[in-house]
Amino acid sequence: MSLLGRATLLLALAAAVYAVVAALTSRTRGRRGWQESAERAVYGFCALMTIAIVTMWAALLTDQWDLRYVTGYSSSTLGARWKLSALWASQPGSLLLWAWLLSVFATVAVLLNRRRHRELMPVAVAVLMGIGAFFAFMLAFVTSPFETLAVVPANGSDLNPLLQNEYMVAHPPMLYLGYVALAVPFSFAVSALVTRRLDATWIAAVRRWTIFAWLFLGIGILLGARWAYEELGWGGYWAWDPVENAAFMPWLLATAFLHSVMVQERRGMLRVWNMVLVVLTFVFAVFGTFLTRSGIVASVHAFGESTLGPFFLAFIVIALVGPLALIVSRLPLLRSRHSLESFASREAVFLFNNLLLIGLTFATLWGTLYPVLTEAVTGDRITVGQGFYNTIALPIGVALLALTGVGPLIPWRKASLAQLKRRFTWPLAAAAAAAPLLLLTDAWDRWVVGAIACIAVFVLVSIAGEFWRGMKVRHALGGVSWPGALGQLVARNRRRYGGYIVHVGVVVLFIGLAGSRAFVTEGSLVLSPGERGTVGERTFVLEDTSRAVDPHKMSTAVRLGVYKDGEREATLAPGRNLYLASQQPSTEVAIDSSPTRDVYAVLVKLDERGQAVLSIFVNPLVMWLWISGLIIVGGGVVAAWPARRTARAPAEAPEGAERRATA
Amino acid sequence: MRSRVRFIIAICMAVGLAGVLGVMSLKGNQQTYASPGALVAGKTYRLNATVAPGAPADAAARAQTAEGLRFTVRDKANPGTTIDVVYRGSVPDTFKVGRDIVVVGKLEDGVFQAQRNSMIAQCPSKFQAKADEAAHSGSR
Repeated sequence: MSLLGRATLLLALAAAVYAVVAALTSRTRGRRGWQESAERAVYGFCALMTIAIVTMWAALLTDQWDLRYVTGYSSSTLGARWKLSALWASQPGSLLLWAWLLSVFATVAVLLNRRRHRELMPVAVAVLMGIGAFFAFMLAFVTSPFETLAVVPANGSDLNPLLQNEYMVAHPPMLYLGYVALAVPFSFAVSALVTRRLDATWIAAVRRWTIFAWLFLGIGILLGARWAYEELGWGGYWAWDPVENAAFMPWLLATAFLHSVMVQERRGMLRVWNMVLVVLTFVFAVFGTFLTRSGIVASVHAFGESTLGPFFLAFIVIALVGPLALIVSRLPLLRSRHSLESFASREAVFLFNNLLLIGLTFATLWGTLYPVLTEAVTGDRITVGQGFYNTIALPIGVALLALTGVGPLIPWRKASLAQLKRRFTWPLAAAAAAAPLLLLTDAWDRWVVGAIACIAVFVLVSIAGEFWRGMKVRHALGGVSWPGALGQLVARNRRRYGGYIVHVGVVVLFIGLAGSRAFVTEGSLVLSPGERGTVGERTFVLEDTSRAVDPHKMSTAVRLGVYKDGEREATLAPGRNLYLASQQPSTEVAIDSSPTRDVYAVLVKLDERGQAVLSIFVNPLVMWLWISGLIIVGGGVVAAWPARRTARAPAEAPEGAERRATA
Repeated sequence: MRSRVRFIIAICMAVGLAGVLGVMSLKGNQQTYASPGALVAGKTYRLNATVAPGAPADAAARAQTAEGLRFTVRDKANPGTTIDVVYRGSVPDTFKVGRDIVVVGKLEDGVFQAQRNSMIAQCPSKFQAKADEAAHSGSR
């Protein structure tokens, strides 16, 4: 199996290199035919990577202990789905997944665009396969997943128990889908620069890819948060750890790009800016991989130091400097078609949104790299605490939230005072009306939370107004019911209304964040069977304890009755397992979720006499974080869903006009 | 002219952001990475060291008690240098003797008083062929 895997990776490397050469050759006069050959090489690369990854999976499933990888991350008693997920438990496996996804995306990108964007394809293929060749090289020569052991052990040392969790099966692939999909917009941007075809066509080719990547990055981040929440047992879900930041930064940049690209489509502005954003987004995605794999920053994720650092650094420098140099050399072609007419305009709102997102990205980058910078300057590794991130992210986050409400209310180009008055009246009135109502709840104990709640109301009413105005127009055209009008409205402007749905999700996300960060109740209990203890306004009764042993692990668990105001509210069964192969304990958190609060119990210890040490958290509104994730995914799918071309034309009339003007 | 004004505004904003970041990262939020030998009383550190033999097996339970979990750590490079740590809060599952950890806290009367819930356990940083260690060396 090792031989098959290694041979396939070498062939894949050859296919990728050939694709680069052939694609570039096809750019010279009279050699266009080479492009077809290059595209076939892309399919070949994809087929070879598929064989490689299937081989790895087969090795994991069939316990090939002669492979170092299989021995390190699996064991004979491990369940089949964990064996499959062991592929992304470590560095070579993750890189294999990266390369395979890239090969699939490159194939899809070629199939979708080879006719539609013929002129952009050669360079785009060369860039994609250049990236592919880099990863294939790493896999073949630097960190091979198919490395064999001289002495074959009888059993593997098991997958880290922390990773034996459903969310951990899904979280890394989701993140990778996002990271890798960003390579496609990057390649088309570079291609547009090289070929000097800097009109709106490259943007049309990559817009949906960016939404796709953004969506999966977001899902990956949320699943990671959920995993941390359920598995690590500290009651929280986000800690500004370098690895979390590594995923958060490209997501922020992709968010910025998705907004600023609209300004380019509508007004022909921000063209340099968008190029820079696309390049930076991809570079940050690779940087994320570099950060987590190089060991330059200490992290909870602690992947272990490796030899990859210099290679990745070189790759990042090339991916950053090359395109930036191209942008500089093409500056005259990237000149804005219009200038900003007024600060009271949609494009100005997008501009502010971009500045805030970029600001937050660089603040996060600064915090993440601070230990590296201080070590270089002073010799001491100094890190910023979580306080640093929270102080910066809070005002920026609140300002961004407010902009989601302001944006849709302000027209393009220039707003008149009368327009602003008419559109802002209702949302502002609703926000003002919500303020006294909030006084009745605990939200007002923390003024920031109160402010966020008021802004949330403002944004929701402003978005509802957008839907209402659109529906009224459709309904007035006649022949449709109100729900029919809504359906038509969304179907004909998927991106716009999908975007609004995402904004609703963002509002819900902020409500969840504000509630769960500001009002946590925490306590610890030591209970013998039958005893009771109190945390906050709840009483916990230890009702039962149990112990069990199976070949894979030794588990202990307790049953807790939760009472509030004398009424039984929930039953919780937190546990603690000891995995036998690795001798590592693992906390099994018990959570009772409801829309208002999560009761979160951790069994810290269960001793022989049945005395249990428990740690309890009551986290308000956490459920809304996960609900917001679902709303955002729903909105993202609506926005990315392929629309019929005929239906789109009338909705984007101004864009057509724009195109004529620029042709 | 217009573009020059815009350029100046952009530069000002960039400088402003850099300034804010610089000040904020200097203001009270700093934690210096340090090994047991390099601690000075009264300053906040991220102590990075190895758990020395003698750490209790029921560490997670002790950390929940009022007196806290008390254990000794030793310098990673220089095992002779040790310091006692008092810690309360949640203990990562991977905590055990010989493992590298990070705790945030201050040196008080010769004992490192760690902040609540500040402990991070790191997996061994070098790949080792020993099966037990290999399971953790590259995991997240």
